[in-house]
Amino acid sequence: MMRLLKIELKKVMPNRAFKVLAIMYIVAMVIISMGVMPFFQYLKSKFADFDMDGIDPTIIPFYEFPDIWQNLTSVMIWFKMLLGFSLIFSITNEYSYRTIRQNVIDGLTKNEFIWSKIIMAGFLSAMSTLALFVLGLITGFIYSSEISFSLVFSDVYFLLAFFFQLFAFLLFTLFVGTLIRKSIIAMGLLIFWVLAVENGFYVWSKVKSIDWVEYLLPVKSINALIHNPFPKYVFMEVQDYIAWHEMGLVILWGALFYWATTRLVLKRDL
Amino acid sequence: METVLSIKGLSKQYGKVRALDNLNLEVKKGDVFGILGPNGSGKTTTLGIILSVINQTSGQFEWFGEKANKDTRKRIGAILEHPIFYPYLTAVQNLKIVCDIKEVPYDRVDQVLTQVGLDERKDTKFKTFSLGMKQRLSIASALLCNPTVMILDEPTNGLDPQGIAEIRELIIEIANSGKTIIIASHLLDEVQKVCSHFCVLQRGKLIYNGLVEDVGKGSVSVEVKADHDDLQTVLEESGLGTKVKRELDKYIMTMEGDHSAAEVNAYLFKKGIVAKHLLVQSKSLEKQFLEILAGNKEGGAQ
Repeated sequence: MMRLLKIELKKVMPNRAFKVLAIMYIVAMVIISMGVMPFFQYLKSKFADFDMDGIDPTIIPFYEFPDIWQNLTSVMIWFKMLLGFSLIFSITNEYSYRTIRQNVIDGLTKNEFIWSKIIMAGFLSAMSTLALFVLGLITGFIYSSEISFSLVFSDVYFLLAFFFQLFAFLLFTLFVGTLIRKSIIAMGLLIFWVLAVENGFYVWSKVKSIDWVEYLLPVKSINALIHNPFPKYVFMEVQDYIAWHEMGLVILWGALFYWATTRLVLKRDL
Repeated sequence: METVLSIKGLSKQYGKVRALDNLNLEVKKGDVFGILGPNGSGKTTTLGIILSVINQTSGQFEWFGEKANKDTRKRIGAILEHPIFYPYLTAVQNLKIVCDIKEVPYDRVDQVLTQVGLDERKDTKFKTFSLGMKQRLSIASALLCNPTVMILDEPTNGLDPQGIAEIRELIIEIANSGKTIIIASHLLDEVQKVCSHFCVLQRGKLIYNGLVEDVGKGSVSVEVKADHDDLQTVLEESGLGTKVKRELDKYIMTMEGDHSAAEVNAYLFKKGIVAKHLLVQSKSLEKQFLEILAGNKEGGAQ
């Protein structure tokens, strides 16, 4: 496993597209986990300029334990597309440069090849989960009014859910990249699928009130794992925990994309 | 002799096209084995299958007496028509990936780069390389694992004469070190110069399999130049050859039986003709190849 990760990192790290996407992702992560409060303070000062002292967004406990975990993960997951693009690049490059063929000729089995990509997807998910954990701890300690072990760690399982969300989504992009083999078309299809197809079906299912359609949409199912926590700040009820059946669905989608990708690579001639 | 590669009943179907039809081959240790055939005869498909990048429709093959497993390809070095590497990586970065795949230590990288004369460009990106340099890098990559078998697919395609000569020298060098080499090519001259065995494929069928040294045997022809108005008739009347053909100012007679060039010379001299040019030609692989293909027209046709 370390050998495959080593191979994959050697292929990907010097790649410019990967570097640019990774930097964008890291910047987004730092802004989300550090910049929201300063933004609220800026809003407050603007409101004050307009003599609207009554509105104070800084009272929203965005960065306070334990709310911070659900808040950070549910916002950060919107940037998963950046990691998805980097993975699509890495798989479609192997096809357009024909290096997948050369890798197999050199002695990698097709299964090892797929696993090197899956391990990379897992590595990226684990790294961003870890980074989010560290950043969350830092800002949490800065902004929380009350700190205790149970407050800090009570909702930390949202990070685990975040990891599964990212990993399942990256398996989806791996499948799209393997299926299409052309980077631009694969990325276009990914965006089209997420924005048009899934949203279209979602809205249609809501209109017709057919609830199960949502479960057939992979990205919607993945997004739904961590519920949007923000309505609770205007006193609406939200699901502030991870439901087991939703977690099971995400794992099921991940497994399905793994199976489909493996089948594609093994059946095809290179 | 130890068998390195054995192919039994291998077939490959691309939709309606049968690219490979029940191929049986055996390559022994130390052979330099040439696979000949016109374009589209199934050479590259065969190599693709034995390197596990193309799935066969039926049949099987064995490397070193066992079914191909994850370690067999680590003992094989392959140089294919188009060198394939990551264009955005340097020569060293590319070869280190191959090291990781083949599980060989990194210190081989510098050795092989020196061996192929690329050490000055080792930290430049692959995409800046000329075709000759790319081909040399793929040779370096094939040598990384100190392979017991080398596979070459049209190794000199697109190279300049100097590059072709370098590759040929390298093949001979590798062959002399006792390694088994399998070459697919349509350049007959190349195969004749380096190979010990050869086979001919046509439309996916094996139509000939034999030794290169047997090629020269059999019919010989003699090339004659002399100052005479009707050399054609004189030669035809000699009864030494089966056929006389004129090529510009010289006449080529295909010899019959054991008759030799000396007999031709003596015959002409008796007739009062002095030959000013007399050359014995044994049959080239090219001629043999074309004869084999022509002889099998019905067999290969669909």
